[in-house]
Formats: sequence, C-alpha cells, structure tokens
Amino acid sequence: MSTKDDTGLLRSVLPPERVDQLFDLCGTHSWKLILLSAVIGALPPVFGLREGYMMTVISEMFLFAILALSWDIVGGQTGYPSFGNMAFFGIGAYTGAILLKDFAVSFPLAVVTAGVFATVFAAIIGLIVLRLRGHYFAIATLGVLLAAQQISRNLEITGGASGKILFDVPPGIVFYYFFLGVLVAEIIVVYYLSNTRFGFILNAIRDDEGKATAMGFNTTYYKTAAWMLAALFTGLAGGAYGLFNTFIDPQTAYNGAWNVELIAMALMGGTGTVAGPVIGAFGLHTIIEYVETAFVGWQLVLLGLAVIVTVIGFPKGVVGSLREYANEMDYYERGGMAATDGAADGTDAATDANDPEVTTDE
Amino acid sequence: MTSDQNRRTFLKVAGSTGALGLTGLAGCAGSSSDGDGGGEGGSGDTITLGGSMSLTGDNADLGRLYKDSYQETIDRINEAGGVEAGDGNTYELEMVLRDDGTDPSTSRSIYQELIDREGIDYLLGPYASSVTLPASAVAAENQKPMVEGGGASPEIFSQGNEWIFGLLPTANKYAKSYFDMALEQDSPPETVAILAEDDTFSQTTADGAREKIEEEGLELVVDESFPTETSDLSTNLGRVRDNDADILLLCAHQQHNIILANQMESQGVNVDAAMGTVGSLNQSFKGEVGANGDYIYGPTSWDINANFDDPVYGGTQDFVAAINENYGYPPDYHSAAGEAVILTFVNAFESVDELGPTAVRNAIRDADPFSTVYGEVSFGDNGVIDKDMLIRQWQPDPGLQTVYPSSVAQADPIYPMPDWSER
Repeated sequence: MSTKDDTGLLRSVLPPERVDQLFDLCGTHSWKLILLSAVIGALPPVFGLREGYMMTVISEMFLFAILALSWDIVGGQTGYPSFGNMAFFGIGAYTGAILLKDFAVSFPLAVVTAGVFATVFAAIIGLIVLRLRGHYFAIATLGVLLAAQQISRNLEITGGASGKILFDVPPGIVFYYFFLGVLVAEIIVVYYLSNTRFGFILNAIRDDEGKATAMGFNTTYYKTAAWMLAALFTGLAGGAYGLFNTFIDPQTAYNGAWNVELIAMALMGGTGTVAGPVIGAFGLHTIIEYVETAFVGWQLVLLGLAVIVTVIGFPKGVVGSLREYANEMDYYERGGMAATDGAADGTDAATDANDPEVTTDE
Repeated sequence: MTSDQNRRTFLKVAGSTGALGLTGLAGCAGSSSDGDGGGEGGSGDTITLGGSMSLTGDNADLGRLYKDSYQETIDRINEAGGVEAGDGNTYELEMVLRDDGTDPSTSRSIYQELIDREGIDYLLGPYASSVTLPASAVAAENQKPMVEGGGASPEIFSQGNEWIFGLLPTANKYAKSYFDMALEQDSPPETVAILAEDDTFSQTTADGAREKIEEEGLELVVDESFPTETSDLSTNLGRVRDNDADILLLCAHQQHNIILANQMESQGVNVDAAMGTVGSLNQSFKGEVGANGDYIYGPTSWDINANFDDPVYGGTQDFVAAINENYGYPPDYHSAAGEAVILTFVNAFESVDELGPTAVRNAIRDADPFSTVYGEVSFGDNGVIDKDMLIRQWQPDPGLQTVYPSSVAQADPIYPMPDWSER
C-alpha cells in the first residue's frame, strides 16, 4: 500500500532498523534504565524546584502515570476494560482524608492504609464482577464507581456532599517524591510480573480467555489478583491526593473526567506495555495543561480532537506504533512473504511480537 | 524468540525512561520561573487580576454572569482613566480568567499557574465552594489576597485563612433576617418549626437558624430532617400543626418548596409565616404552585430593585441597565457580587501607600464600609462580608416584593399570612 510513501521522511531520519537496535539495546539494559529514569525523575527538586506550578504539574504527571499504568494491568495486560478504577482512587482518597483529619494518623500510615482498603475492596468486588466479560464487565465496573460515589455522598464520616477539607498540608516536595516513588515501584512490579508466568497468563486471558481456562488456569483468581494490584497502587495515590489537593468531595475523589482520561492515556501511549501508559499519561497531561491556559473554554474540544487524531493516526498508541515500525524490518530480515504489502505485513509482525506464546512457555 | 523478548523488554522500559527524563527537563526549566511574581503584572502601569471561573460545564451560565460583570466593570474603570492608586500612580486594570469547568481538581494548578507564570498577585475567586476551597489554600500558601463572590460555605472561612475574602453571606446566615423580620411584627412569633433537607448546605442553614432561635429566646417546637429524595412532607407538616408552631422555616431546595406549598394547602396547615431557603423566589417555583405560593418568603443577598451608590456605575439601577444593554440579560446577585469583587480590589489599591499583596490584603481586611451596586461592603474577622440577607415575599397582587429590611423594602410583609380558609 502507501506505507512507504507516508513514512518516507521518517524512514530516512530514523530507519526501522535503528529503532529495532534501540529496542534491543534498551531491552538488554532495562533495569538500569528504570533506575536511571528514577534518578532523573528525582533530580528537579535537587536543582531547586521546590514548590509552585511546575512542581504540581509534574507531581500530577506522576499521579496520572500511576493511574494509567494501574488501569493497564487489567485493561491492557488482561484485556478487561474497567471503567471503575476511580472507585479505588476515591476509596483511597477518603480513607486517607478520614484517617488524617479525624484520627490524626501520620501521613505514611494513612496512605498505606488507603492502599490496603482499596485492595480489600477490589478483592471483594473483583470476585463478583470479574466473572463477567466484555461489555458486561465494563458496565458493572461503572456501576461500582457510581455506587461508591453515592455512598460517599450519603455517609457522615466522609463529610457528605461537602467533602473533606485538609488544610494542614506538607510541602509540595513530599507529594512529588511520594508519587514518583509509587510510580517507580509500580513500574518495577509490573515490569517484573510481565516477564513471569503470572504476566503471561494475564496476556493469555486477554488473547483468549476460553483457551486459558481450558488450559486449566483459574482465570478468576488471576484476574482478581491483577485487579487488586491495580487497586493497591491506585489506592495509594488516592490516599495522598486528598492532602495534595487540600480538599476532596465525591465529585473530586471519583472524578468522572479522570476516569476517561486515564483510559485515554493508556490507549494513546499503548496498552499492554509498561512504557505506553506512562508515556500517554505524561503526554496527555502536558497537552491538557497547555490547552487549559492557551485555549480557555476550548480545552475539552481540543482534547477530544487530540484523542481522535491519536486513535486514527496511532491506533496502537505511541509504543504500539513504534513496535510495529521496528518489527517491519525484522520481518523483512526473516524473508516473510516478499514484503509486498507493507501495512498488512507490519500488522502481522506486530501481532507476532505481541503474542506471549504461552503455550511454548508452559 | 530472544529478540522478541528483548523488544518487549525495551518497549516496556523505553517509554518510562524517556518520559521521566522529559519530566526532569521540564522540571528544571520550570524552576527558573519561580519568584517571577511582579506585583503589577510587569508593565508598570497595569494591575492584573486573575482567577478561574466556570466558563464551561454545568455552571457555565452562572460563570458567565461573573465574567461579564468583571469585564464590564474593568472596561468602565479603564475608560474613566484607570485606578488612582494610593502610591500616586494611575493603573489600568487587566484580567486573566481561566476556565475550571467547576472541577475542584483543576483549581489548584490553575491558581498556581496564574501566580507562578502570569505573575498575578491579586486573585479573583472561582464559582462554587468546592472549587474555592483548594483555590483559597493556594492563595494562602502563596500569600496572595483572593476576593470571591461565588463560595458560600462557612468552611472556606473557618480554616484560619487570612488571604480569602467572600462577598456572599455564608449558608448559616441564610435564615437570620427572616427571624429579625418576624420579630419586628406586631404579633411576633414565640414558637418555630424547622424542616431541613438532609444535605450539608441545608443542614448548615438549619444550624444557623437554631443559633438565632436560641439567641432570641424563641422556642423550637419542631426540628426535623428529611432525605433529599422525599416527595412527601405531610408527616412533618402534621407535626408543625400539632405543635402549633407560629412560623415555619424550610431549609431545602426548590422541589421541597413546591411540595411544602402544595401540602400546606391540602392539609390546611396554618402558620404566621413560612420561608424556603433556596429556590422559593424563582419564577418557576411560583409557576408550579400558583396561588399556594402566595405569602411564602425567601432570602436573597441582593435585590435588583435596590439603589446603592456606586463609584463606577453611579448606582445599582445604572449597573442593571448596563448589563441589560451590553449583554442582553438582567443581572442577578452573582453579577452584582462580581462587580463588588472588582471594587473591593480597587478600593484597596486606592488606599495603600505601596502596592503589594500583603498591603492590599491588609487594606481589604481593614477597609471601612464602602458602597457598591451590591450594597455596602466590609469584611468580618473571618473574611466574610458583613451582610445580611434581604427577605422577599410572594404577594398576591404586585407579586414578588422585597419586604425586609425596611431601608430597601418595596412593601410591608403580609404578616401573619391569612389562613387557608380565608384565601
């Protein structure tokens, strides 16, 4: 087709084989790269960024990356599109806020408890909703979110519709390192798991749950474990958010817009990978911040356009598209099908690369 | 297989590396903008006021009222030569208004951006208490004065924040004037019934009413709460009748005002006065209940028929005419409060020897009462305007009339309201 013409400039500047080599290089040194990323992420405060707008924006980038990566554990790696992840965030946020404000618990204990509460909630809910598949699962998770929001609105301990105010706030640098720390920990855990039997089984569930079940896996167990892992990190982030924002109410803690944004972030970056949701979160949040100040009143329209353009231009997300591009060369080298139809070949190659080949590993 | 695995590995890591790296760079770049907050927006003869407002989303219609009022007032001040500040210079006013979509999760970064990047020292508050709370925390952290006309929750002003000033009477004051009015009548009430919706705003209103009742030595004979979802107040109205309450206060929103008016009529519940706190003055309320709504009272922080002197417009009626003419709608209390937000800053700029956030904050806090289209403005120790609600009543012949306080009243209250059998 016209793939070669469309990407002619890109091919001359960055040939697929170079991308391929880069992938291999990074693959060889993956743990060192994670460490390097963490160090780079930790540097801005060392060089003087201690408060204010940029500190908040970067802290929010880390926060959204946690949320998007958590969503991807279930939505991308396992193929279960959850619309209820903000319920974990809200439960974490309220747990943290109540412990901090009403019980004068220390910040670390409050956020850890928030993560634990969200995880326990996920275990209970997961055993019910994770028996559902596809659209039914998506709708059920949305129901969980709405129910959690309504319960928080009606309870006295949550401050009802008025929410919780937390004015005795630690400096911004605390949240910066907290969100960075949780993000790095999550990247390490998800990356490690994605190369274990556990990760392969999640991918197998995504690719064909029927076969995975037929192979003897208790898929509900694996799905619930993945869902709890997502809830743990989302709940930890939520636990700190109330204090970070100085205020939560049902609208903020179970933020409907965020619920869509975090999915968009994972999709734009590339689902089913570790890097994709993180890139998507950083990219989309940067766009959101820019559009909010540069195009007042039009931000939602422009955001919608950005998502549409990305979905049309990079349906596999940034990482997925790059993966496809790099694999193209690999495919030629293997001498596959004379490479007459670039687009189709690329897709096939990418599918091959995506395939966790559970059967051989087992 | 090995190369596939490597590729998988890379993809999982490369993005996080790049993204974290980029963030690091962004962070380093960002730090240079810290401390760039010039007091007068950098140009020397311009003072910039900045804030966010609900310009999109559910409250966009209300947000527009503030935006138009801010803009009209600033334009008029600039056309008249600007602000003659106490430092001897004349400044033009500028406004930077962001859109928060009434989302409390956005206001923190919006206000930080205004302070850090736009160098704004004087903050206009957003609409809605939930958005104002995080914004007011940013104002306090950065020690910039914020004046707001869109947040009425007493929580905003009970945090010990010395940088926030509010122009709406807080929810706990909504019912106060109603009791003052009733107590001035020839046969003042001795017993009171409160029916309150089970939401925080209404409960706060009821708390304020209970305090006032105790202060005035009245007897609270019915004090009941009901869930928001209820469509039947008959049991509670039965209690009002059985306990022979003189006056009734309904702390609730419009739907319950409608239920109250209709069920009072069907059950023949007679009291000397009945007031609903929110929504009882809307035309749509009267349209729903017809004659059953006659004699019902409601509170408002501003009356479109009032005539207060104003240094920019001349008086309230000139303001009403200007908004009508330039924007095609009659202003309401949000618009008037918006005008007073700008004038609060102008009044402070005029009275300080040297412009700066702290000096301006002190000037706002210590200002003598000054007149605006919204009425007299001065702030209590907690930063809330020292203002009582006006009371309006649906009267059968002229319709909605301001009846209290007498200084702005269009008519005397019809008190006690006639029994249902006499209507």
